[in-house]
Amino acid sequence: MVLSFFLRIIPYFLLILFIFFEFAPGYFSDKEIIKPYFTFMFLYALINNDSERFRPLWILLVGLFYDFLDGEVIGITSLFFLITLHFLKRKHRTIVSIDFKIIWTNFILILLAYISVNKFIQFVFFDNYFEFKRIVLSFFLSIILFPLFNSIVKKFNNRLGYINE
Amino acid sequence: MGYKSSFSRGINSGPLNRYILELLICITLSLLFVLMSLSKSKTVNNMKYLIVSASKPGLVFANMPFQLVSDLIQYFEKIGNYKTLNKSLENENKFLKKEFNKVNLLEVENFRLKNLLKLQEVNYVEKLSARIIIDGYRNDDNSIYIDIGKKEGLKTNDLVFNENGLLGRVSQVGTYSSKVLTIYSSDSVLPGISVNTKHSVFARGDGDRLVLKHLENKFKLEHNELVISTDAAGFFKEGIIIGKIVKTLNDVYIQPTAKKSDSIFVNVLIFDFKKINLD
Repeated sequence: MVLSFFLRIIPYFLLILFIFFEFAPGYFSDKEIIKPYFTFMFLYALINNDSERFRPLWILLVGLFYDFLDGEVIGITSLFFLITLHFLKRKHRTIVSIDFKIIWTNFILILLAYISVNKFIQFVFFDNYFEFKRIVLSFFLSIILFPLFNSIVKKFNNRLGYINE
Repeated sequence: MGYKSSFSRGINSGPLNRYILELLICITLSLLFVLMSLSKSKTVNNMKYLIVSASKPGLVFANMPFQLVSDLIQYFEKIGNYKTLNKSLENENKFLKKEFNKVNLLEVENFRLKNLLKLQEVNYVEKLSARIIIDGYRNDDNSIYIDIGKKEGLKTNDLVFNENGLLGRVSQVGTYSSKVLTIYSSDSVLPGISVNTKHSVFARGDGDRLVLKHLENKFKLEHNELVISTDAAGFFKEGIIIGKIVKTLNDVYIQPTAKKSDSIFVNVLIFDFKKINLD
């Protein structure tokens, strides 16, 4: 019972930790390090592997928290993930197993759309310019690391299901 | 791909089931927040700074591994060339001892002159220390967040610097935290003066360097000469190092001496304009 409870709250705990990791200043010696979109990767992997567990309210709270630390446009992350959650839920209701290549492609497209919309709004409404190099590096790093994140979350979910049974 | 039977799809198909209702409410709330932040609502802004301040323990905790690795790298770098470092520190020590004696003499002289002119000490500038809690790594305006705000007396345009020089100025103030626009941002323009050639310059942020504005012949400046801040426009404190002039074959720019990666701690100069006016 206690173990099951702890296993259940671990994803939420990790999610908050990843948000902090993404925004905490991180420098190695005097060089800035490239950080991928940790939160986006982890949340997408969680929703993708167990869309039934994540209630929209949690997505709203996590997304708002992320945006409050991130910058100017508050609510954009939760909006993106709520729509993604709905589409993934619909997909999982009709399709039992999805090829990983499709999951990966969807992740790339959604991340690209998220970055584009977010930056476009910031450019139009807040006159912010693009840190193009950093964004591109973070984007590619996220694409490379996503399979690893997804497989860890998948294994964790399987273990959790096994313990619950 | 395998497809489920249509039977399970029909169970929760009501348009107002619990999930759909929750989803719609959450989407509406998200949209509301988006609209409020686009209209630069004060409520959202206050909420933002409260959340940033409340997140400080988590952000400090998340910073620990980075700090640990960074300290380790620096330690091994220093261990590698400790002999050279020791020699240069000994030389620096000798130089500073001489300078210190000079400063003592100048202070006495300054005190006597002040007494002659009947000048009174005014402390309209206060220096505070702060910690960087958020580095908007991918933020387009090159901003950072520090853990002091209105409560400590911070105001917009107060200067932020570290041991190496000027880092930026406060652009938004919350109760317990503030946003700092770094000098690297294209929105940042600084008034300065070159130390050797005495040319007034305006330096605008441009990625990892500062470009010179409103200066007819940039090539009059000397390579490697220091540029320090001036109090032009009344916003800035004079005498803080901005950077060094770099001259290439076809361009002249300023390489800032301070980087946000120098230290997690920064200093903020707080001006009390009322005191300035009184005196």
